[in-house]
Formats: sequence, structure tokens, C-alpha cells
Amino acid sequence: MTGAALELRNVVGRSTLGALGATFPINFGLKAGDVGVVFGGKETSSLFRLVMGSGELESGEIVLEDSMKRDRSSRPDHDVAAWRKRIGFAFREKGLLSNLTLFDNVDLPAKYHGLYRKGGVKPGALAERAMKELEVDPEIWKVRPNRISWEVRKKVLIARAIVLSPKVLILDDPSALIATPQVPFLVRWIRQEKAKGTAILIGTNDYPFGLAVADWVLHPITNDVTTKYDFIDDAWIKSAELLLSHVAKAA
Amino acid sequence: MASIYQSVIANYIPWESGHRREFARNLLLQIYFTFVQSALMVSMLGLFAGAAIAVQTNFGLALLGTNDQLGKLLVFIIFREVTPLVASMLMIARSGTAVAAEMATIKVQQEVEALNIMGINVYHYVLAPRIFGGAVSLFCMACNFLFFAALGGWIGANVNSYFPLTQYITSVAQSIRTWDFLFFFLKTFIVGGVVMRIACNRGLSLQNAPFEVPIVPIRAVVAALTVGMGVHFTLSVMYYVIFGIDL
Repeated sequence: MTGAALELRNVVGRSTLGALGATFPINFGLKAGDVGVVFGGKETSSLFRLVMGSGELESGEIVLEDSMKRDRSSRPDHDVAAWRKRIGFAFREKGLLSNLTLFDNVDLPAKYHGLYRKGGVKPGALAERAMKELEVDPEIWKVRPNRISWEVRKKVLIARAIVLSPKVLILDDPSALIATPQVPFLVRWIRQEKAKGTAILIGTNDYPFGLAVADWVLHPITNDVTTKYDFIDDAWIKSAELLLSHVAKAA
Repeated sequence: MASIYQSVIANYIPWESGHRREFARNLLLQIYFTFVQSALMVSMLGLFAGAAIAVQTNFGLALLGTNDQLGKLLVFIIFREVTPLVASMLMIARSGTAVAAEMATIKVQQEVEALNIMGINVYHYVLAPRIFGGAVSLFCMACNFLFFAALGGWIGANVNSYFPLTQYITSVAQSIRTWDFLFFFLKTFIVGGVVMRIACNRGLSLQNAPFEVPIVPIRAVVAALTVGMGVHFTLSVMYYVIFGIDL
């Protein structure tokens, strides 16, 4: 029992996007209210797919909320429905269902998993809350994804990830496709989620954004958790400070 | 038994209420796209096909002096063979291609992966509604085609001779056997499901880039035609082996 919402122990594996942790296995524990950041491109997507049960674990184990475990014996995409229900995952850019409206896209997981019936919640209320949290304009809720900007699509992807109120939230490059003036909003929103006790794992290439929200970073070489950012250029650290001052001003 | 349960029942039949509701919604949508939207085209085609077959058959029978056999021959040709066959081909051309292209597109757009990651069973949400929807739709399309083909048959029968409607209906009704209905149902229901399964499989088998999306429907059509015709042929042979050719 480590108390971590999500824990990776000596993980080596592969997904359709490539291999992971072959030189140094991946180790981290993400506690409730923690924001962990992984810098990198394709590898972060691979890591997230592995965590979501899509990839093949060659060694090590992934533990969710101290109660569920996936290891080498777990087959990719098998017996993962309950596992995936507990994790919110926001794709980088694609993944919205093109035949559904933005609202229906966000509402689908709640309807499918029977949350309105079981929880006695008013139909659509969970999706409405998630859309409002991400400040998606209600006028476009009934529009299909192909009619709106990538920035809004990104917000809808994030809204869909939080609709089931997961304890672990994985965001794949959340600041990508978001206009620069909107990044402080995103930082504020992540802080709100963190304050609610959600464990957040972020993969990004945006160093200032990543550093602005991170409680810890996964070291790109040793694959261990670190809070010393000596491997990152000073200019990025200064940019992160500048972003944080913008966030403070906006608040 | 366990593997049959896993591969058929557990995978395709949704048990939980949320799953069932989404399945039903997608099933109705599929029936709307496949059957309702094609109803006019199928009716017109049935009418013309029935008329053409009746005209040709009636001319042939007139030469032999056995016009009273028209009803029986129409049952042989239209009810047992032409209707399931033409309806299947229409569905393959119209919906098989559409479903294959749709599946390929949603695969490329990571929609399938998104469903998986949300814990949504792709069999329940995507495949089962299309397969059952295809099966139900093909049966309905065939009934629609049959009704208008029979009507066209009567019009065609009256082109070069007088054939009263009551006599036409009696002649057709006397030639139909109870088992005809079962085989009609089997042919359309099985082929409808098989065609949609092939279209879904081909679409979801796309591995690489979006440029392959247009290739997928072509492959799906070829496979669906081959398998669909094979099933028709097998069922027809089974019918005649079991019940004989009742001339």
C-alpha cells in the first residue's frame, strides 16, 4: 500500500507507437492531487496507452488506486473496462466521434456506463458540468466536431475525460492546439482539478507549460521522478515563471 | 462452449442497461440508413424487375401454351431466388461500401481507440448494431422488393394477355410452401449479417494511412459478394435437396 492513485513499478513495455523503458524501466507514483509531467513526443503517447491497458507490458506492473493491477500476464485490451472507467484520458487531437455532437461526445461515457440511472443524476447533467468547467460555449454544444476549431475540440476532449469524475486524469499534450492566450486558463483549470484531489499525469512538449503545472517531472533519461530540473534549459524555466505570473495576473 | 459464449454472446449482446440503450439507438440508426433510406429505390427496382421477369416468362409460357403456370414460375424465380439475391447485391453496393468506408475512417480518426479507452465495448457500440441492423434491414428490403416485384409481375403478366388479379394471387399462393418463408428469412437474415460483418472487418483492418480508406470498400465489396453469393447458393441447394424441385 503506497497510497498512490497510479503507480508504475519498473515498467518496460511496448505499444503500437513503439517501445518504452528498454534502457531504464519507468518508475513513478502519482498521488491524489499530484501533477506529474512527462516531457517527450511519441514516447509519452506510448506510455499513456500502456497505462490505459492498450500496450503490452514486458516487465513490471501498473497499480491503480492500490486495488487494481496490470502486469505481464495481462493481455492488451482484455478485461480493462473497469480499469479504464477509473482513468480519464484526453487524446492529443483526434478521438472525438464524428457522428455525434460535442455534447453527445462528452455525454457518451456517462450514458454508456449508466451513471444517470445508477446515480440518480439528471440526464446530461454530468456532461453539462464538464463542458461548463472547460468553458465551451453552450451555443456550439449541438455542433459536430468537424464544424469547430481545433482549440474547442481539444477542450471537448478534456471535458470528455473528466465526465466520469475519474481519480486519475491523463492529458496528452493539453496545451497543443490551444491558443497562447488560453494557456493560463488551462493552468488554472489544472490547479482546480489538483485541488479537488485528482491525480493528473501530463505528457507535453511545451516546457514552460509543463514546468508551470508540475509537482514532479519524469526524468527523460533515467525514467525516475525528479523535482530538480537541471536537465532543462534555464530559458524554459524563466518562460514557465513568466507564464505563472500571467496566471496570477489573470486570477 | 465457453469460447462460443465469449465470442458470440458476451461480445455481441449488451446486458447492462446503458450498453443496451446505446446499442438500440445505433441499431435503429443503421436500419434507418440501410432500409428506410433505400426503400424507394428498392420499390422501383422490384416493380421493374417483377414486370420484366413476368413479361419474359409469359412470352415463353405462351409459346408452350402453359400460361397457367405463371404463378408457380414467378414464385420459383422471384420469391426463392431473385429477391434475396438482388436485395443482397443492393445492400452490398449501397450499405456494405458505406459501412466499410465508415469503419476505415473512424479507425484512422482514432475513434475506435477512443471508444476502447473510454471503456466502451466496440462490439456492443459499433459492430453489433451494424451486423444486426444489416440482417434486419436486408430482410425488410427483401420483403419490400418482393411486394413490388409481385405487383410488377402482375402488371407484366397483363402486357400481352389478360390475367385477373385474383387468379394471379391464387396461382402464386398455391405455389408457395411454408418452408419457403423460412428459407427466405434465413437467406436474407444470414446474408445481411454476414455482409455487414465483412464490411466492418475490412474497415477496421485498416492499419496504415488515410490514403487506404478508398481501397477498403472495394475489398469489402469483393469479399461480401463472394461470401454472400456462396451463402445464397448453399441455402438454395439445401432447399432443393431437402424439399425437391416441385414442378
